[in-house]
Amino acid sequence: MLPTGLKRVALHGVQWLDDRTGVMWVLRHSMFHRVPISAKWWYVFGSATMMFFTVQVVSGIVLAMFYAPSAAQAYDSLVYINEQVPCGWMLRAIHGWSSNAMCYMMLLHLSQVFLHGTYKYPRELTWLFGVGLCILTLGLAFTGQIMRWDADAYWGLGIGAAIVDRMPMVGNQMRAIMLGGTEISGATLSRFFALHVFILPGTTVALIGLHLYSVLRKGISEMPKAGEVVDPATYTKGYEARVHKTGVPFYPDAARRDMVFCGAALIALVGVAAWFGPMGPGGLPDPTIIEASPRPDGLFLWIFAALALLPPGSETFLLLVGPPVGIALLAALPFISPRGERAPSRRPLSVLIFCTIVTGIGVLTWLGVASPWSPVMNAWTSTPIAPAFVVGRTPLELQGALEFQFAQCRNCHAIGGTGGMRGPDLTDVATRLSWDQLVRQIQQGGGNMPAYGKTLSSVETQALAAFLSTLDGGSLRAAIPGAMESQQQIDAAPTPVDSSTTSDAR
Amino acid sequence: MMRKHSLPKSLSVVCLLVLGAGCEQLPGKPAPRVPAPTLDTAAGFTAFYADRCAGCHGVDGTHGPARPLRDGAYLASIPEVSLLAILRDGESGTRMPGFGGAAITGVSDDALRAFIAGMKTAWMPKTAEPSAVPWLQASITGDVALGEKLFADHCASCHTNTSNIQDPFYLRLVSDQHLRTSIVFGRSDLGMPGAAGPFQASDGAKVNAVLSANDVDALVAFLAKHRTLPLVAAKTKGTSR
Repeated sequence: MLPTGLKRVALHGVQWLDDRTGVMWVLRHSMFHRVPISAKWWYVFGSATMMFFTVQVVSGIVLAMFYAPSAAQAYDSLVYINEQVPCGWMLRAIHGWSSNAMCYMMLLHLSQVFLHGTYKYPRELTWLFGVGLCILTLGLAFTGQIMRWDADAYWGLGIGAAIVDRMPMVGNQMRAIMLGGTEISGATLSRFFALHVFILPGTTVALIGLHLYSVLRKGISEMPKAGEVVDPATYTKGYEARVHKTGVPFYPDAARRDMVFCGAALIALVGVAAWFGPMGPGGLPDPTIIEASPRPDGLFLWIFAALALLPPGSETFLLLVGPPVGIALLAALPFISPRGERAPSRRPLSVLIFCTIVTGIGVLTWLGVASPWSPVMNAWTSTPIAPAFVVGRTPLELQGALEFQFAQCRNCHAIGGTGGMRGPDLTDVATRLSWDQLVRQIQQGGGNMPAYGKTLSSVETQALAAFLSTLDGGSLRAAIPGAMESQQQIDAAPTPVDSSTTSDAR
Repeated sequence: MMRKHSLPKSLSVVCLLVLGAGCEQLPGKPAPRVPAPTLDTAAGFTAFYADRCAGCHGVDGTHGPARPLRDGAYLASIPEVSLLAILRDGESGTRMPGFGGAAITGVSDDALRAFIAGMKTAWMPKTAEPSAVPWLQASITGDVALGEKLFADHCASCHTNTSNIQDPFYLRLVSDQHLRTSIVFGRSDLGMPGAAGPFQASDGAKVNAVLSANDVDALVAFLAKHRTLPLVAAKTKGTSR
């Protein structure tokens, strides 16, 4: 407890500050303003997003005291924080995971606002500031990944620079501005460091202020009810009357739920950080490692997949036009649909759009994790052919297995579930293709597969086809006429893929 | 008088200390970065092998389409300089690529020597004896008739199919040295004996014979003779197992 004298001094200081700034009025107005009584647990996501941002600011400030934003030292300084600074790894983990949590909480908040039609009249500006915050949050997450200065950061920057470079007329100049030169260097890191710790957080703080101000000015929306339409001519008057009559003060009624949710989210954050630890840094950034398989962080995996799957002819157009149009549509939403029903049950088109977007992003994220379009560049030397495909084979078939590895077929084709996924799994290829079809496919290629007719000699092709013709999936029968025509004995007495049953080595 | 719900100060201090000290014990703490094990250790060798060799030589040095390297007699017989040459430059007449040189992913001679040392540490028993038969093809001629007889007595019980080991497609893909290495060391992972036997007669009886250097020369000459046979049309493959 403070002594009475000190209390008096503190009270006098607060009165002085209030007199000069009016801060108490602001606090009173913001804490005790009335909110709709129906604003319950659906409304906690925005507060949680801001709480995670606060965690990031605090942890980021401490991390900045140890982080060295130079190309030569950044990576080592992260290792130093992980290993030498007391609880430094925990701080990095909290910073990284709170970034993820902030993004996901923001997306939940955005989804709730969209589904409840909260963006409609008169909260257009609140929505616009929110869209700005959404972009800034994603920008913070991306630039944060660059701070790790590992292989993922290096290649992520390379992809970003390649996209910027496609801009007509000004591509080169924009890339130079982005990278701080013609290539990824220390200047690039300095540039992204400034973005990550000064420009983006500063702008975010300003936009949060504007977002909250507009929330206070136009009030928190009520829970939507079917049949209660938004009509700009009557909405404000009716809203104010309802809030005045049945509303409750934000503090403690609504704030209590925010505090409970934020407290639980904070505990979960510390738990996840303590259990899973910090993110990276991964492998060293080395442009000479051509077998690198960089991945963006989880939130950007869907973009990674979308970029990989775009039809080549439309790449530049969609890359440069898609994001601005998407953002513009999002921003224009309250002006496109300013009135009408807010309840999801009366807005099937909005629900359909939402479900489509969520499903699309979910599928693309899953594809981004699997990235079946990427060859596994070192599979030919590092992915063994399982013994079940070796035991009992003739010398020529074994030689064919070597051709299979040496020609790097394995980088795109899996056998027994291991290997690349760009091409079809060949575990049972003998049941699907006849000998002639195997040879033709090897020599002429087809689909995405290159032709190997000029790469492999006829003898090597024969060996490869001989090996492939043994891949019958263990005990499968021919799926097409002509397949496995020379394997009638095997068809008659199918044997499982098990080395113990196929040990009659020749 | 209202009851205070705040924690005693001493308890707060204890909580902070426990949190601070416990930070080092939490499961999320990243393992310290230690330098990668050098190639001459079993761990360093294993990592390099898994990345560069396992695709052809098998996950544990056996049961790959290429010859097994987890073979004490083989490792004891091949001089380091020869192993180094094979690793660095590859082996002509086979699909063994060279891993040395000045390419981006090329490995220095010192690293390859360390790899050989690591491989012997991991896979060559201290009691391993080199083969009594020279592994290197010294003679380019051998007694084909003797080779044919030896093949019938020692090999034909397993290599029954004439389109098998005498398949000209196969023989055109491998060198005489490859044949010799296979005969001298066998493939114990696939049940094939080396020159030290024992073999299996056509009636299934065990034959405790040992092939001499001359015998190996003869077998190689006999097999190599089939290399120039006309290539039979396809569609006869895929009948193994």
